[in-house]
Amino acid sequence: MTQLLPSVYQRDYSTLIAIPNGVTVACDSFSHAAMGGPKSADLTVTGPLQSLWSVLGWLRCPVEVYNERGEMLWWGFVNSAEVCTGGVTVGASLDEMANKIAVAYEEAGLTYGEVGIRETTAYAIDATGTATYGVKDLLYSMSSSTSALAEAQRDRLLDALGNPVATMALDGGDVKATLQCVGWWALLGWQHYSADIKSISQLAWPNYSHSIRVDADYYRLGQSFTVPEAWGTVYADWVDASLFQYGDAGSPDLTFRLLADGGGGTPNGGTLAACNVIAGTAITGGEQNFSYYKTAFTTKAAIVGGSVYHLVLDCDEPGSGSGYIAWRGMTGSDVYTGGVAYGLPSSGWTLTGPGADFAFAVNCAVETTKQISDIVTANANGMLLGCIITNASGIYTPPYRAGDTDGLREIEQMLDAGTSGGSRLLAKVRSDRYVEVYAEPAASTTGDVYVRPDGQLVSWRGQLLDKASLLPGQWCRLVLDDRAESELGLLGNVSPAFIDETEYIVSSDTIRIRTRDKTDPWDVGAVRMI
Amino acid sequence: MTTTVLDIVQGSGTINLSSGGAHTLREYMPQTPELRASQVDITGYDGSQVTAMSHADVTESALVLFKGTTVEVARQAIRDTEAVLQRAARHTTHRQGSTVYLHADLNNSGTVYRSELLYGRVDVIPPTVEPAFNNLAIEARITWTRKGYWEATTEGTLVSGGTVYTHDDASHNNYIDIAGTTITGAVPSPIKLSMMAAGSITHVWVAQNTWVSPTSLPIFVEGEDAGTADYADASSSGGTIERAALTASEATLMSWNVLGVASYGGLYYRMMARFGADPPASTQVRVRIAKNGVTLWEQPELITLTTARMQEIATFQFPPVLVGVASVGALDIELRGKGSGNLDVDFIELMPTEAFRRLSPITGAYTDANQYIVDDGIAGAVYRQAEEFEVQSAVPDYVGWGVRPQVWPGQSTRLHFLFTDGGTASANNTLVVTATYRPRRLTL
Repeated sequence: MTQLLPSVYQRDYSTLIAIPNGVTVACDSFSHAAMGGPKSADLTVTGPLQSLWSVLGWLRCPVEVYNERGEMLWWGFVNSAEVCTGGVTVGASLDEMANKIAVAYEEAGLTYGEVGIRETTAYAIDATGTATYGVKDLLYSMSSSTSALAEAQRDRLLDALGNPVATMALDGGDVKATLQCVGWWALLGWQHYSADIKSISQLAWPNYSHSIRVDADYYRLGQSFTVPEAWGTVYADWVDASLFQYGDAGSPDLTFRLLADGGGGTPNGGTLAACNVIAGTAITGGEQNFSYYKTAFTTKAAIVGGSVYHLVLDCDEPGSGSGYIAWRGMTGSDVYTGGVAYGLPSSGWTLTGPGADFAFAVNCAVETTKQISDIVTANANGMLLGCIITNASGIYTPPYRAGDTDGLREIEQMLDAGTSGGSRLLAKVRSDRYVEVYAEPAASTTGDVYVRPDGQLVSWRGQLLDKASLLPGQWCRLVLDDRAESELGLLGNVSPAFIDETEYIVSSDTIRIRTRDKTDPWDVGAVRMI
Repeated sequence: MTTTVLDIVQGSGTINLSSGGAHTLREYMPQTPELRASQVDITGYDGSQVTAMSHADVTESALVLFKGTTVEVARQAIRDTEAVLQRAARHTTHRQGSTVYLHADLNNSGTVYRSELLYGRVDVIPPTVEPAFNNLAIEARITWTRKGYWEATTEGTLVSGGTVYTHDDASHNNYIDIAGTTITGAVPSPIKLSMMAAGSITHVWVAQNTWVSPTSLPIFVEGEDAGTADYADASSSGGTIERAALTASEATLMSWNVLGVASYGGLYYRMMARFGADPPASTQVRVRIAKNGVTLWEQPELITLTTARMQEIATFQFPPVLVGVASVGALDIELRGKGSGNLDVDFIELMPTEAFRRLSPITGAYTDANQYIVDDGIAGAVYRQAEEFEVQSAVPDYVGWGVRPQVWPGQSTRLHFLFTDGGTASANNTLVVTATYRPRRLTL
């Protein structure tokens, strides 16, 4: 075991906090989790009492624990601190702090229509608290309330919780201070996360007189559109279009297709993706029907921010004056500036048309790992530097979030879904404060950690490993003799086992592990220690 | 003529316990500190696994006769002793007041050693009444707890004004050597380093090598020795840097074939790199040790480089696994990475982690030309100083991390230095280094 050297930094990570002469900061234990990376660390600070009070000002200060070889073993920040004077313990914690608060409530207004509507106050912010510690929000819920009452509750809560809450207990003990630290992963839960629908659309009230029917003149209909550049790469998920049937158009099948732009405003001919067929018989109600019809793309095609694409409607039975399918359009002006509506002949790409726009929406999905990256960026609070996707999920979902859930829960939900190939997705905050998302590695005799009967850890190449350096997110194997293996084989797989969590106890140089899907040894009192 | 010395000293004040005047030393035998070992016993296996060792504080006593022209004078002398022991306790618990030391020379050697007094008490020995009035003397036992070691009362110079560069070649060194013959004492002694910057300096790294061929171990490796693509750069070591193009996928950027691997002793080294240009944003790197393309060890995760010219990259055992094996073939140290743009490497240095220390300024601070960065391992302080030895100009705007170097009696030691200037960290920057120490011993 090498000596452990904790370092505490200024909140902006600019430099170390100078520890006064005579004061010692020691690490008692730390833990890591496969989901999130560094989880918790306990530090003890000893020295003259008047020097210990300063630790109460270390909340949200970054902490790094190194060994004397310069290897960083744990990284995170101070979540709570306590100072014991010998007879009294004074503490402060970030757990209850909330410096950005809104209140959600059911409107109890005076008019019938206002009762029962979900409302949310604006967020109120404690500027000092957010500037000092970062943003930690709270969405408080009330039942029936008025806006004035909800705002009063919000302001009261902000006054009470806007800065770390101090505690006092008449607990005796040694004169010392203790710091409870948590990993940066916890920071992602400090704020609720909201995201808009990624929908390219023109859905203003469609106009009957500007619809275009599918007939011999306009055999196919199209609408060009531009993906907002800021979106980056998204995936066309489903289409909304305002359609109606005039008279009896027969039983045509309608298919929307996505095509790339060929330049000059025309599609380039290659279909990127096609939607499920809309049966013409499902379009009812005549020209007074202002319904939107929804259909999903059968495959997810990537569309890139800043690029132009085309949504083309094919109808396998073009109608006539007595019966046809029409795509409802907008008023005569080109209200959607990212594209234009047009008609196409039965073959070729010669555009004709009104120069206006159809009533349409191309709703986009985003790969879940990209969504995780967006949440990390939004909830970084100036401390997390970015997100690295080592293994993309291959699963695409609408990115909309109402803002009722914190970013960490949103992320963990998407990680839990794994990849399209069925692999488990994990994430960790690396020592360089980048979040890395990766698929759980497979067990491998040429990659796993080996545990010898004497409790020593060795790499698969035989290198003795420092217990303090063992991280979760990898497999471990027991080095056993044949008899042990045959007995264990009857009981099920204990080796190899995927390490979900580790906890290192400094004083005894021991490490506890919790393997995946196994009973938590700390819950039942039985500790698996090596 | 030398005499026995046993004094309690605080600042300029001294209580002379062996003067033969107000105090007569009757009995004193300094105790040897106990050795504390942290060890793990594993059932079924011989012996114990010792993980750490240290010396405990010493509790001992001296029998002293306090005398005076009157009994009251003798009693006042006892009270004076009690008072200084209280001040020692105050300093121990609150770091207030000057440090209290026990000074001793018990064998008339002419050399006085000191040990920090932590706390103590005076026990007057009965009967004290009639004999006291008759002899005007009071016998008392002074019991104290002190640090487990003795140290010299003056600092000895190990190196004076040694110039180090930020690179190492035939005519420039980035280290200072301390000859074992100059190091006295019995146990390791911490060093006080005073480093003067010829130009502006920000961060300093110091690494110690005592046990692995300190005067010959080649730990400095020029980037261009990788033999990939060399470019001229006047501010780099050897006037050349090694350039590698970064790609979106991780690949080996450059590889250095290291000979004589056994000489590195299987110890752990902190690899540092100096870059000839600011690394491009979002550059990720890791270190791998390989032989003929077979990976023997790999850094567990990529790290993202900052734009600093001098950075810590990885810690690894070298050679991996084969500790104590005499003949180990050449190994490749590979720098792997990904990103976009070019990565220019001036050199890498394998800093020994026997004692690896980093000194950094707090925000906005820096060391101007001809100022001093002082890492005082004796007093346990780090500060910047306008003039050497001018303690009143010390500014505590530097912080230190890591294990402080210490010298071992009779063992030659090499201290390696790397430093930056907040800009290009030119290989031509210099530090002038003075190293002092107080030799330590456990017994007198």
